[in-house]
Amino acid sequence: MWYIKLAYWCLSLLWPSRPEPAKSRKIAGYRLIFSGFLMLFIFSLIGAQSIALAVNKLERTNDRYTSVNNMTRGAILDQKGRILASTVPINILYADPKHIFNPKEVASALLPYVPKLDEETLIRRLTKEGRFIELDRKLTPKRHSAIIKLGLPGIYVKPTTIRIYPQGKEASHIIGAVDRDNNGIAGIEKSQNQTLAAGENVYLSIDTGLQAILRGALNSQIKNFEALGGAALILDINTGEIIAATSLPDFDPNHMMTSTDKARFNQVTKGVYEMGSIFKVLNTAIALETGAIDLNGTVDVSTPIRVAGQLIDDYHPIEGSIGVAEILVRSSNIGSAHISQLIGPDTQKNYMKQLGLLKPSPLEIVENGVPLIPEDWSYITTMTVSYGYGISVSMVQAASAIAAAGGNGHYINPTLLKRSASEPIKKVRIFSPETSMAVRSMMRLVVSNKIGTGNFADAPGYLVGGKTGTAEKVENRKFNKKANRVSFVATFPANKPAFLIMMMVDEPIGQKHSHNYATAGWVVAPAIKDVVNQIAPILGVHPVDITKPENSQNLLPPMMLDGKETIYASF
Amino acid sequence: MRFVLLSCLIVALLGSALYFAKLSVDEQYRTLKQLEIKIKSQTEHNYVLKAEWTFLTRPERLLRLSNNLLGMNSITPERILPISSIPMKRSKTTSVTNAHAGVENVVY
Repeated sequence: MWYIKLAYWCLSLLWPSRPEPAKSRKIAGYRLIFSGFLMLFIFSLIGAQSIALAVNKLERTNDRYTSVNNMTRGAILDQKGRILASTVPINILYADPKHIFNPKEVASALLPYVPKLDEETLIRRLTKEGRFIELDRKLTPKRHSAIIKLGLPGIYVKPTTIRIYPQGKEASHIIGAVDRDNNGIAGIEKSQNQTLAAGENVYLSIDTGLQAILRGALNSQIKNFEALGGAALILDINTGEIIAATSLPDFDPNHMMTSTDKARFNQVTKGVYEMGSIFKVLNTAIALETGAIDLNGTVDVSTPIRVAGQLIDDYHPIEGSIGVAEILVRSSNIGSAHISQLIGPDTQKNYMKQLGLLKPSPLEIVENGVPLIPEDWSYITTMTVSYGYGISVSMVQAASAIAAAGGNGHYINPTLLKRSASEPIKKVRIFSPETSMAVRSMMRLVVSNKIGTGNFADAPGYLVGGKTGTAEKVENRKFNKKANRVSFVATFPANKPAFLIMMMVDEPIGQKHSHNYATAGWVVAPAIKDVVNQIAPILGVHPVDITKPENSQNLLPPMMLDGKETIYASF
Repeated sequence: MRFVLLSCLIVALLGSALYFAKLSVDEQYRTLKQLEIKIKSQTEHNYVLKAEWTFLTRPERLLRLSNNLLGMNSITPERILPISSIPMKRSKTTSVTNAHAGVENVVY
């Protein structure tokens, strides 16, 4: 076999039998040739590699991707993982004036591709001092390609990242925004800046779908009643999670700097307002809980109360004495004021404290309003607080407090961050199950009973309970009777409260279709019905047949109201 | 002499083998880097695509489109019934008295 012979020959070269002297010179020659070839081969390899290195170079690390990856800020997602804020790569167009010899020529060639700049500004920038003069921060791929084709000296592109908000105006006050260097300057972007900057995602309790429904319903009523604006939120009563929150007018965080101060103001968390009659829910709950009055107790509401130069009166005067439930259902200021006197200032203040109304809410957002509380909590203050005047709180604070009274009796800190299933929820019992059952039954009657002020909020099947509130706005330190802030707080379903909706409309104007009324019952209640009808199936709330005894177990037995027996069913 | 020659040959062979191994590692490293760059690039594309998808499927837009183009409305309570209201298929062993009579009359 030839290869055995070859191997034998190679071996004989390396390990020859002792050669004859005549042959040894020949062998030495072979060895020399072999060594020469070996050296040549090795040096060829080294040479080839050197050439390869010089010509091709090693694959350069792509700066673009490395930089983007290192800089990526975490995303903000809603509770279902939908993107609310994200970071995407983008190119910055910039000029190095030191490399530009003819600025006018470069400017005229570049002008069609930088629509935000006119020729004069462009020339000024191209002749500016410095090595990095930004021309366009958001270069589209199309313009990028066209500019590269121009091959202009001194015009370069730098890859970077940009924060985008694909949901636009949806929940913009909650999400907030970032500055040019991707540092949070408002909302969750600011409060969770450290987490986001470390590349971690933040999940909010907000549900974008419900948010869109809530915002749409509020916006529609603002337009229908030519109002200045409004705000609304949906709260999960059992977890304290805010699943939707909207404040109108709002802004697009993609263009935050172009928005007005008013649009940037978060009325849900930052604004503190006198809530008006919706505070009567708290007054009733405190009275029942402390035993200041019981369910059978009555109060004479026929005479307005004149105290310290103030007149406490009812919108619709009522004759004689009425019970606790009727005071809430008819929204009697006089009745509430009388009940508050039975509660007393200290007890009322103590409950307000427990319900988180005397200090800012622990919400994870920087725009958190500081409540305005009375310096001297006198008997007169107690009276005004009972129907929502003399104390200003944020909508989130009011919603959390009413969720305790009209829900299951627990106070739960509100949150904008999604709670994990394993996270224990701190629930503080403020009202007994009996008190909360009585309160939510009365709230249901506000909607289901014909004498109630919130009939338009009745979404059949979902047992909506609620309370209207109309508060006069303070202008030049005086109440303006013509400028109201109307609100409605609703819980549903009344027999097993799961969600709370609160909506406020700022300065609605009575319309023909509302018979010139601009009260909460006309302005906000229909929007609440609309929202409940849309969100209940999404939230898995099943319509309830209230005529079945098993569905009315968690409500008070029927009582007499305005001479008739109450019903919880829709009419 | 033979020993020296043999050692030289072994060293040369090992050196060559090491050199080729190094070249191979360099090549693998280069491939790895390229893959990493590709992954990063794809991740970025993914970010953009997700953002675009979110923009196109934002609930406000879907609500508007479904209302305007499909005439879709929210479900009314009458159309939501308890599971017990659905008439079940009667099995041969089930007596007639146990079979469900049909949809209940639900009052809201």
